[in-house]
Amino acid sequence: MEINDLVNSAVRGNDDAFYQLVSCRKDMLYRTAFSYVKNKEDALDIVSETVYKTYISLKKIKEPKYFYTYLQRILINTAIDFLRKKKDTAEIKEDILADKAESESYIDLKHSVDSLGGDYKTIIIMKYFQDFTLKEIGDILGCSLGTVKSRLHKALSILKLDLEEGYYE
Amino acid sequence: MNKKIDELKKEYENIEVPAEIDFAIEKGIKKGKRRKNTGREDIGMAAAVLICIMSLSIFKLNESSLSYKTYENEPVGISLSVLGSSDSLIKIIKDNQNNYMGVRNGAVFGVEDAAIKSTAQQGYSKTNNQVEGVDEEDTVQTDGEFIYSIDEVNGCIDIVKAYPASKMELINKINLDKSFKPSGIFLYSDYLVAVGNSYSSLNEQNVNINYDMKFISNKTQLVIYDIKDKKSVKKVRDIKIEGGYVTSRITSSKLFIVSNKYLNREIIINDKKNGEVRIEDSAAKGEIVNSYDKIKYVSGAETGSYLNITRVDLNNMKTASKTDTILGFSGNVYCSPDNLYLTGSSYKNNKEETPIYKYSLKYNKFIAKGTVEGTILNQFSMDESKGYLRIATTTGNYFGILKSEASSQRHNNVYILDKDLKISGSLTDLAKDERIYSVRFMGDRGYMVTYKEMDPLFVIDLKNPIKPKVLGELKIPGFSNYLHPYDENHLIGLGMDSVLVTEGGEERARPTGLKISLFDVTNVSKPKELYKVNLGGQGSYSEAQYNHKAFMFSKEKNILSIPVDIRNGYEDNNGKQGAAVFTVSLNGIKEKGIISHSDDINRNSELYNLSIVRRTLYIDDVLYAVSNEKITASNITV
Repeated sequence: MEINDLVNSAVRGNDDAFYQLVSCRKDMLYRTAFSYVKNKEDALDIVSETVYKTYISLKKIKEPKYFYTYLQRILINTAIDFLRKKKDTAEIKEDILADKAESESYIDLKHSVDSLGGDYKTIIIMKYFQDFTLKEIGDILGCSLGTVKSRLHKALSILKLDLEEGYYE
Repeated sequence: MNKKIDELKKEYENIEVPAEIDFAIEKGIKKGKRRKNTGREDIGMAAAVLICIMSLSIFKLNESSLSYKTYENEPVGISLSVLGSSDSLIKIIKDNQNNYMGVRNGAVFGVEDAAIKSTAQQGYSKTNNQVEGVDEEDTVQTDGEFIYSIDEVNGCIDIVKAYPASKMELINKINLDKSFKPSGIFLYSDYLVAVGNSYSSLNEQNVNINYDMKFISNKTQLVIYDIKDKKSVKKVRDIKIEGGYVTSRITSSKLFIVSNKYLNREIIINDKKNGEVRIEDSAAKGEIVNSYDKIKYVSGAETGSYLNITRVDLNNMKTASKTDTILGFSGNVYCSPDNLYLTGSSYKNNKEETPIYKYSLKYNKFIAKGTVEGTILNQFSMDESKGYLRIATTTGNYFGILKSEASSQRHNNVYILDKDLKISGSLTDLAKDERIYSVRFMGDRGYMVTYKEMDPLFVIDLKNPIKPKVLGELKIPGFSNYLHPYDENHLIGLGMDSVLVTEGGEERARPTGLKISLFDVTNVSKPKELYKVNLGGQGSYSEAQYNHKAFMFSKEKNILSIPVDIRNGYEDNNGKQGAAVFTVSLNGIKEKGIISHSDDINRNSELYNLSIVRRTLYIDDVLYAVSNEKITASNITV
């Protein structure tokens, strides 16, 4: 229950508590950000921005136990926003990678995960890298379990990954 | 192909996290602080006072007296060692840095249940204290004539002449230091006491100082004002204690403040002074230092932080405060009129434990330490009766969402500990796979709500401290986050209602809106939900679910009032917020209406915060609703 205590404390203005909350997820924050942008500077910027957005909207957290759900959601939105803005300036890159994902002869999984669109990529990262359950992913993304499942299926099929039964759950 | 995913995962885990990450987090917090501060200056609105009249119902009040128990003999106390030097501290904190998990606002104080006994002496409401005779701070207070309220937006405390309601007037604004963020205020005699954190450490100028250092230098601040003359308020005391604010209590004219100072081994190696505790007190000559020879520890204690208990004699402003420091951590704090119980949280060998320290308020020293399995929910998880501490815990609760696998071993326990905090009796393995949502101890009985899909309300017999037993159990949809005694045989529950839905082949409970219930526990083996009232849809919320101080109930006046944020779905931005008012009696619960301070709600606007009704209180037959923007008065007679 300490997490609820920390969140309550943070909501009431205890920066120390807020720092602790964020700090004990700092590896996750950075790695996830890095998975999207693939460079240190941008990843750090995304972490900063995520911390900022979470800090100013702390009062909106209705149930303390969802703090990390909320943090994760902000992180993902921030990362996707960042990519979207960046895409305006360098649009070609993603298309090239998407082509590669399509090509039978060249399946570099790493690059194809990178080439996946926002939600698909997010689901893969959360499901397989961070070990969230599908239900938790649904909570974070604000969509139903069914939607998460169908998106995961789609993502895996784009990646041409035919995972055995059980790997879904 | 699974291998490929596993490889990718490994790659993900091998992403090296640079040291600059701390700076990036700090940057985010600083930016957030700036934004908050700017918001404050931009708005710059004065508090307006407005009056409206509504009809509710009537009641009469009784006086009540306080009683204190005393020890016959001075207790021996636990064996504490003195640190002596920074070297011994450095040695002790070497290998268990992650022993503490969090900070916590709010404490518990026991013996007599305040909710049953206390009715305001002069016909006005007081903070919804857990325990009779032990005051808790809150953001709003009244003395029956004036309302004192922390104005977060403008950084001041407003004094409003509230009685008579037809002539409400803003009398004065006490301006606070910019760095001081009070968590709450107390009224004691002619004094107004504000307590909370002081954040001077986050000044822009300090950018280059080591990050950890800055957070550790976070201070607890306490400012006392003489408010005899409301128009000319005088600051009479200012105390700053190194460490973050946890909670405070006033009992028998003494103010006790609990704070935690976080310890960082590396910093202490470089700067020995950082392992001491410094206190500035305007009543003391010079700085008070709790040096290594004054700081104590129990072997095997949590070592991530110091636990400070500072006491201030409110009847003698000229006497300097005293602070006791031990190695340890305080999360939830419960206080009976005699003892402070400070709990931490430790996670060792895959087991969650709650260490408990007992501090005697009479002898001003630590007198016992004990440990129980599991973690506690909040201050209501503890209660002292006849010298025994009763404590309810959940095992397998650790970090809920990310450790879904933990839920399989989840269960709940009730322990009864003797005066030395040795386990006298226990009930374990209650409600497997569920966790505690609320607890209330009332004399020889304990009530506990656990929840996963249905809400079992357990009635527990605690009369025999060696053998507590479950008397009865009630299963209904939804859950209660807070239980408030109505009388000896009835309880009010505040929480959420729920429906069972099937999603992806799995049954799960979906919250459907706020719920207020009246439980009948006359027949302990068959508790009943006598009445329930639903309010709003999915996404609705009340601060009172998680903060008992927002719960305003008077049986005599037949009034229950809680701040609510009503929505019809999580994405609904057109709900209503304000104070929901009900009558509660053994004949039923009736909603009387919602007192709102704003009709036009754009939930994303900065102004939205201003109109959130945070507290309600009453003086005679008038109900006052307090937001950052204004105070409204409503007539509660029929």
